[in-house]
Amino acid sequence: MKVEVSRKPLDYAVNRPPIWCPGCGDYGILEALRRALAELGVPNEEVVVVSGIGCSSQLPHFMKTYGIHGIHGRAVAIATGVKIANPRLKVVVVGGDGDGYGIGLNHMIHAARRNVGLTYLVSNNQVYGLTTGQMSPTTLKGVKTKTTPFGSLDEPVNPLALALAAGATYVARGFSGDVAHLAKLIKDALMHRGFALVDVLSPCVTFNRVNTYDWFRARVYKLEEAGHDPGDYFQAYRKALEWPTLDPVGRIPIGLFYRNEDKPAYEEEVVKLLGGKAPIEADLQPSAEAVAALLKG
Amino acid sequence: MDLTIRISGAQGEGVETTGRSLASVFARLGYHVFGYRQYGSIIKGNPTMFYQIRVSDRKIYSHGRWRSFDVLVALNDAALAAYRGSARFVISEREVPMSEIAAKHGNRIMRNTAALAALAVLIGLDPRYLEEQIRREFGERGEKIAEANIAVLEDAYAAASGRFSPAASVGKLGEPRVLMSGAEALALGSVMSGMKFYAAYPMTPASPILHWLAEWGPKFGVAVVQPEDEIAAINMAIGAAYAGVRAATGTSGGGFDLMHEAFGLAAMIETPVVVFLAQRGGPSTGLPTETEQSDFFMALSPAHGEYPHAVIAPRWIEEGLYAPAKAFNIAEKYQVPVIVLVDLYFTESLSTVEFDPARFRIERGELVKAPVVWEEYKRYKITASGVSPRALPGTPGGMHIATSDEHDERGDVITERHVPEVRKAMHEKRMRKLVKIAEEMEPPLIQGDGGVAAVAWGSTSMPLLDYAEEAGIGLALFRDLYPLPRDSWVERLNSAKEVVVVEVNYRGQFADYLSARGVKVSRRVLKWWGEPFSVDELREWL
Repeated sequence: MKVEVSRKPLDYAVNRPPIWCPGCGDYGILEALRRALAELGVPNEEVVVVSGIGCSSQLPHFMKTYGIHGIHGRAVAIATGVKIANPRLKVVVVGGDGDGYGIGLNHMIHAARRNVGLTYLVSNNQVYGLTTGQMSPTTLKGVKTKTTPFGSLDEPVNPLALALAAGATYVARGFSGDVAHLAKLIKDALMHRGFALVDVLSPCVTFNRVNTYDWFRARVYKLEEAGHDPGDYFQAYRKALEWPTLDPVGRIPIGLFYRNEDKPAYEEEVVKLLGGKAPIEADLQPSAEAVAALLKG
Repeated sequence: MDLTIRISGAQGEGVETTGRSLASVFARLGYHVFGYRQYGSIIKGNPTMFYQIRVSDRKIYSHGRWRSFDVLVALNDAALAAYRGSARFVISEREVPMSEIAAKHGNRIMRNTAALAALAVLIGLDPRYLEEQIRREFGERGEKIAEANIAVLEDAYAAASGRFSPAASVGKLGEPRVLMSGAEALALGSVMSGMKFYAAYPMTPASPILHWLAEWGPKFGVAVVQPEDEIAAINMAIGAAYAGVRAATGTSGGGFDLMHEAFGLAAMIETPVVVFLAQRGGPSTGLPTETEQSDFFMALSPAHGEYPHAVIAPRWIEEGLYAPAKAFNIAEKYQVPVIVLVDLYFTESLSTVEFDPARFRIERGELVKAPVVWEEYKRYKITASGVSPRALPGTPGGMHIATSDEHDERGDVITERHVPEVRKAMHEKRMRKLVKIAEEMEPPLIQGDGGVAAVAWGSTSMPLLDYAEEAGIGLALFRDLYPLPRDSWVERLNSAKEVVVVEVNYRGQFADYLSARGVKVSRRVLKWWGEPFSVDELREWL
């Protein structure tokens, strides 16, 4: 009989307080993740939080779970290995826009097309924080940073449109200024079959003086209140293009853009190919019969 | 009997298949076989590629000679012109109308079968062994192709019988021997060692490991992934290893360049991972289809910073079966990344091997399996050995974050402040593992004494073993390269009259390495133009 244990967000907390600047958007993401896990009642030991390098990539250290705080840009690849080896684990990837949409962007695209069962939370603050305020891949065109003193010449990437084009089966955007809404998106992402991207508008209060909480509050609106159908791929794509591609300063949709539960997750297909057992469950050494068959072949 | 046959023709016209079939026939008859393929980075073309098959009734380790061989089977004029001067016997269109016979039965491509029939006459091989091989190869693909090839075989055999008289007699010698390439040995050895995850991006000459595992891995519960690049490959392997399965990746020098940062990550978070590094001519794209041993220095210190790891270079193909077992055991017992350093000559050559499944022993090291008290568990506990018990995800209480930043015993980042005492202790803990790993490293295989000692590492051992058999010189062959074993091997080497280091690179990397450890290297015999040493070259240069 399975004993149901009710869990609280603080059950996933460690004694160590986060080292983020006061007011950092990452606090909202941390709280929302803990809430989502508590609501689902996931045992601590079955959660693996993987991150890269950056302010937001410190997040695993504030979770009472397993995890890897890896190298810059590679969290999605590491997490893919974890998930394939042991699909029973809830594997959460966290990182920033530099880590995920810059140096590590290709891994997101490939994880999305494989539909690996990962929950990828990107703390998108449109600036490099830990390295003290350089332009990031999501910095809006014309914005001044330490490395763009005359205004950025680069068009920003559109992570949601990219994820949709790559074949991601759960695509959402949250706002760390609305923790309850974000927690719901993360909870659904954790339950999702396959790759889930939750891009989180997460203000950097120290280095980004443009995209502040107030700036976002004046612009965000919720897709679920606007009659959006997350089952409609093309409508999701149009919504993904609204910001920042078509209108970098106008209204910003948040919520669930797209969800498709029909596509099998990568790790499910691997287990099928392996005859029903995940790598972690397979017998360590091959049977004598299997070896004999191999030598005959 | 010791027979060397070179089959040469254009790439993409079945030279490789023919060479492998022939090697397989000899292996089934119980002979010792070695097969070497020389080819270019082109899919179709290169008219003088060759497969050199050496067959013997005694144990052999290498392809033997470059400059002379017994039989040339030339499938085109360019091949004939290139190699006829080195051959005792020649089989070409001039002796047997191979293309004509093949075309008569449906397709010119079957002239490879005609060539084998002519060879059978020349070496006194009963053609029914070739027929059996044809049925094994084409049986599944359709009886018609098999029958057409057998018709070619019969016609060509008859035609060649009028042209050649048997110069040898190759009959059944004993029980069939297992034939495999070095890549296949590494792949099978990994499966036998309990590897359950392999991720690799295609790159010659490591790709055959991936190919074999893609086909056979799933039957043994091995997940095989072809990721977007080498960076993803090693990071996936690290993730899988963290989750608790034995995991590896494989690549060549250029791919390994991309893996360095993650290699350091594995060492820092003390996660066991094995990298098969199959060298080819460098730098940059270099010689994609030719061998070299020039990545030794890189293998000694791939990532930035200091960290413990190990480098193992199997010396002959049979050793490739068992080297992965050692690599995975060291990786898991000491929670370090391990490099299995091979090269194109090793991964792509074929050899008959003794395969003993009972020789594989899995040692997983200190794993925490029962629930632990989270408040007390220290993933990176400072210990005398440097190894701390490892909790796998799913184990209650064992939760911890493995971090690339310097950390304390609990795994918490310490880098937001200056804590030299923690850094000092943690760095020492990791580096201490090298002392224990060195105790597990085997000293070189030392043969003979007195006169000249020829020293080699990895695959250059193969031609040296064959040459030493003939010349009776002393040998010191290294498999375990880093950390070096602690034993009296330096003194033993220095007692030789002359120490000659033989390597396939320009600088003499291993000679430098040994010199720095007190070995009095008297001479270096080096080669860096894309092929391994041969017995006849060693005879001249040693």
